[in-house]
Amino acid sequence: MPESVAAVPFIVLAALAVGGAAMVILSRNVVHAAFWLLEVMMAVAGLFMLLSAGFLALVQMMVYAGAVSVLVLFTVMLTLRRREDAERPLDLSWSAGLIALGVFVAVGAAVVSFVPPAVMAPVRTPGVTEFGTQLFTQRALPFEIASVVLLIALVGAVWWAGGEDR
Amino acid sequence: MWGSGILKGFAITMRNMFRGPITVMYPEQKLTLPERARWAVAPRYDAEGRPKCTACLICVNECPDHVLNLEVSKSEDGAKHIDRYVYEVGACMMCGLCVEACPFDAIEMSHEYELATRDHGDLVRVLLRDVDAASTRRAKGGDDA
Amino acid sequence: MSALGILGRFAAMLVLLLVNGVVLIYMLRKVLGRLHLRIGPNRVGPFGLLQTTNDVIKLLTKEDLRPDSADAWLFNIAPYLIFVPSFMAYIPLVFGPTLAVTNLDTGLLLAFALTSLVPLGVLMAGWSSNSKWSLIGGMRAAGLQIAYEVPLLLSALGPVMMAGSLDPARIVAAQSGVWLGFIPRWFVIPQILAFVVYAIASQAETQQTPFDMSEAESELITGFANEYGGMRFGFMYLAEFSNTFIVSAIGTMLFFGGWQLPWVATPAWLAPFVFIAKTYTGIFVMMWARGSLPRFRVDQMLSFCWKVLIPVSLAWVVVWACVQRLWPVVAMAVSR
Ligand code: SF4
Ligand code: SF4
Repeated sequence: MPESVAAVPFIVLAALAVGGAAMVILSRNVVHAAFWLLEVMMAVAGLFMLLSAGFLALVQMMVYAGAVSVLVLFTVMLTLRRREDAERPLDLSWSAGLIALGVFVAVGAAVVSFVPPAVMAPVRTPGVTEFGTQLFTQRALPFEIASVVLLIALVGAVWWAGGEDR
Repeated sequence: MWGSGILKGFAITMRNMFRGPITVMYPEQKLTLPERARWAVAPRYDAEGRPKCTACLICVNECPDHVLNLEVSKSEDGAKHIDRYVYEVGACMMCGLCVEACPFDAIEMSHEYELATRDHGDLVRVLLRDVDAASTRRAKGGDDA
Repeated sequence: MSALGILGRFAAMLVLLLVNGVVLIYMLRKVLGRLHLRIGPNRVGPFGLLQTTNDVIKLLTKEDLRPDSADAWLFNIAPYLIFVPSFMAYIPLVFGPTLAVTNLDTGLLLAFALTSLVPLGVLMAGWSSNSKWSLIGGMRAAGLQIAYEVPLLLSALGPVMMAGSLDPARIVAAQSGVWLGFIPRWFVIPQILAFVVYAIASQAETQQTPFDMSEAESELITGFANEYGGMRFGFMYLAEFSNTFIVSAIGTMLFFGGWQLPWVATPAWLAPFVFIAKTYTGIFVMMWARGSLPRFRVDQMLSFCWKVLIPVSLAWVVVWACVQRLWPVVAMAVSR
């Protein structure tokens, strides 16, 4: 069912994703915010599932929910010196408001000006095999560029953590 | 070889598995205690069944935990009478110093090891009650001297 | 699939999980006992068989306490966040030629994705309990799981390459028959290195001794589960045993031919029993390791993972990819 998705699950998942995203910024406790982020990631995985992109949903779950959010939580908890530090006051200063507004305008403009590319929806949902073949033949270059970017990040992190004798 | 210790550990536990348990099923089966095992202090008696304690109080002074206590009354002629020989088994550490110190061999470390009890009062025992000390008997009649 | 069918399957999964939990706890106690020259439970019921059922009753009837300064919401959710993924991970298991919860062509990935969620619940439980021991346990679990997930996935790639599929049913099917007339076509034989990595990583992934840093009975009491009692603790406990079953079952499917008997064709009615027997053999080996090895230190474990397991499994993936690509060419050249 590539053209239309079932309405009720979509509304529920979308509400979960958007509501969770709102909670990430609204909750005062950093650890709570991190767990809300996890919830958003799971909801997005559900949306992928709804679009019959099972592979993407699972990768989203494994990489983002299973690894990235664990890392986020890990760093948040490691950097908290005391539990009370988890509670952050609401920052109502002008600069914060300006940054938020700027981001909102940018994202809003991007969403408004977005034109969906004219692709024919495939008749049949492609499986993992087609996906993999596409990724490693036609899209090999972007794939490799992405991995090089990650490699650079990794080397940078190691260099940064290298200590005095780098 | 790196990691051979781990394999050895696996071999040992597997051998254990085939050797079967060595557990003694305690309340039903009991091990015999070694001869010199030290458990609750108990008084000794002579051939006629009278306690050998002379109420010299050496054990009382010797006990590091102060768990022994003798209540002795003396008559005018110096004869000693043991009112109570109190032993707090709950606080005893079974060190055996009292037994070693006793010059008359009047107490021993018994093999009574099942000391758990439901009643707090049972942890304080009266070993002897209302008997003449052996020294007094000796002075009086000398029947077992 | 009808709603009733889905419900029935879920009920079957739940029953399997519960029975499995009870059986595994009994088995763990007995096996560990025997490995240590002890007897294990033997007082309640014949051979102590009723011990675990009594434990379940105890957990069910126990008061459910929450520490006053705990983070109420997270504290209440955490056990379910641990339990649900390990319950869902029964979905991709293939019990026989026609017996599986559902057929997914990404089933293997689903199982790994679900097990990767467990540390989140552990972290949540550890943080929300507001206790030092719990937090240390949770942090250890997270650091460990992040590290050991990588070799776990990489080691699964060997069998996946051989079968050319992520579908557990097809991976199992690819292991039927024999090599050279007598060796069963189990992937463990060419993939022995990957299997060793898988075994070590899965032991760490299920947080069992020698890798039970997050529980560490002797230093952290029970680590992340410290402040939990009653059935909430029961859920965590159950999830732990069910995870053991799942990694063993996945190992069976990847390396030991799943529900198939070696050499002879397996009748459909026998398949689930063969599968369960193989899985339990795997669990026994895990328990054997549990009873034999002392706990590692955290830094030893992490450096072992990053400096030994991950390079080895990465290298193996590259080597095996080359072998599999070149093998037909070499075979052709030889036969010519
Ligand atoms: S055994 Fe030791 S502790 Fe016990 S009564 Fe004798 S001297 Fe005191
Ligand atoms: S038990 Fe021995 S040491 Fe103690 S008072 Fe009696 S005779 Fe003296």
